[in-house]
Amino acid sequence: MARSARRQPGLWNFCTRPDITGTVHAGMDATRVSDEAGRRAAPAVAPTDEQLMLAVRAGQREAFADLFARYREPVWRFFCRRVQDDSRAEELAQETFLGVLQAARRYEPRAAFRSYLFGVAFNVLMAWRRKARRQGEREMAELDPPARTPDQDAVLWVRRALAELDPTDREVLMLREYEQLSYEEIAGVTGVPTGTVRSRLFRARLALREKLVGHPAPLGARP
Amino acid sequence: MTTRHPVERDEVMAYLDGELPAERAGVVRAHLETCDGCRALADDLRQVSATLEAWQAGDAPARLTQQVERAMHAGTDGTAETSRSWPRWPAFPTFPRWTLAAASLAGAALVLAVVVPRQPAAPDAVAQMAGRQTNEEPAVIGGVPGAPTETLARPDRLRDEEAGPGRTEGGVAGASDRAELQAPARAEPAPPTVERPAAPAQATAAERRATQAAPPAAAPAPPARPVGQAREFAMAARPAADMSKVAGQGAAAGEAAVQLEAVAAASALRPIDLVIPAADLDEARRSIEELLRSLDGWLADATTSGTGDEPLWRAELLVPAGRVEQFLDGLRRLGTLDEGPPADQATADRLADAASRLEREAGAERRELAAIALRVRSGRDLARDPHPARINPR
Repeated sequence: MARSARRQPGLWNFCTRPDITGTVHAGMDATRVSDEAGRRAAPAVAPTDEQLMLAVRAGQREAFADLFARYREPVWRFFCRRVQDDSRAEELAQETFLGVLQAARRYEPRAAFRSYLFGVAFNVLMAWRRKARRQGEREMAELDPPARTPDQDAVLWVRRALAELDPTDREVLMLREYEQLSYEEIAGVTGVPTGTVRSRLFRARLALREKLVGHPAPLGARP
Repeated sequence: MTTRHPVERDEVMAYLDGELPAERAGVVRAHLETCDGCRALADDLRQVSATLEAWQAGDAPARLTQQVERAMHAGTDGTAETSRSWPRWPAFPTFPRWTLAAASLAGAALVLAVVVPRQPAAPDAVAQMAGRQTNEEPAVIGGVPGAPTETLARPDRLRDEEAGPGRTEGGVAGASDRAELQAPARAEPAPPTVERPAAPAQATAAERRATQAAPPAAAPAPPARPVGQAREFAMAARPAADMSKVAGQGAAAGEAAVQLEAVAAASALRPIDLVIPAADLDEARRSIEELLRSLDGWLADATTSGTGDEPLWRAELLVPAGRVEQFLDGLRRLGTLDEGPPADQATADRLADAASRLEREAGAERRELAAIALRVRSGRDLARDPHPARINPR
């Protein structure tokens, strides 16, 4: 796959250096193992996201490179599905990672890094939407034909159906379906109670179910 | 008679998402085996999720990796090169949740410029026209400093000056300002249709005061004060109490304008610079904003600077002068208020900017007030919006 074949000089070398899968970085004393021990131990335990982020907080840029390698694609897809064009999504993804990097000194592992990261991404997105509204910029390209996927008809239907949802319901649904966040993580990202997340998610899915009826492609795929 | 369904519909969804506790998940699982309706709902929900999977975004562009790599190597201190201007904190309101235990040193530099009552040319007339005591509820404005200049002792000294010989200087300096502000007031026509007992007396007092203040208006402007010296600026400070009084009395254009001029003439701007080292900048900012709200003050301007581990927040705070001590007491609970060096040129420039902005606001306010008073003779519109000219209310 193109994603796995894509190797960037410099940063990619950080991500794929030999010790990354078998050791943790300096600064994570609780789980530190030597390179030698890492080679002997099988299977090796990769550092968690939170451990990497603590290493970033301690000043290790290599740990951030690891985190970036893990979440580059998820964050990119997060923005890619929510903004008009790829260049904008690229800018916002870059802002998200730089925001995490700049705020690393204040990071405290109170929750999963994943939800923290998407919380930052969500705030970047909200800030951009406010700015876009002021400037009259379109947020989503609901009707633009998708160009990156083979099944354009199904994708177009999905995008149209999502665009017709209530914006808050849509955001909850997308965080669940595409970012695979738990109800509690979604509540943390969007700042609403968990029960509200559940009700909004249910409402959005029922609305999509209604839109599903009458659409040839999804109906044909139904059991 | 109806029987209650043992499983809520959204519980079916939560079960499919793995969000139910084990005990409840067992109940739903057993129910799905016996209930056709819930089973159909579960199938539909699965189908919705399967359909959404059709939208797969592409891979991240190589440029994203290169840009982040470049920024990472440029440093983590906020100097990293980015493709667009980097919003410091307004874009990340959730950061404080993650930074409560941050031990980094953050500084909050605040500047208060307190408007204190100035010696009026005709104290009885001013008090009568303004409908209040001259030392009651004037507004406050702040400027952003380059460095702190004053300590907590400053408000006391200001009050001492206000009550002592300093008032004479303030009165002289303010004479031309008052005259200038009063010029349009004298041009306002008297309302012919409004009748109330207090109006003729106030109008007469205003005219008398305007006449008294007219000669200094023709005098040459006072020379500019040296940098760092306590400055005074004329401004149109219009407390809510005055506006409600204006509205309640149904004042017409001439009276309202004269009344506003009287309040403006009775106020002078004095800066107080404060520096508060805070352990958590975000927490301190929230506390200050809450304090401002509780005292009916507001934040006029705020900027962030500094490096990642030592961010600096500079803000212009506007607090009613009558509540300055209360406000300072609140600030003391946030940290130690440090005494800094004398005001530099940047501070003086910022304060001058603030003063000119206030003057512009005062002019706009005068025009607005005159228009409202002409349009609404009963003054009800004024009662609905007692703060039409607040600067960036937050």
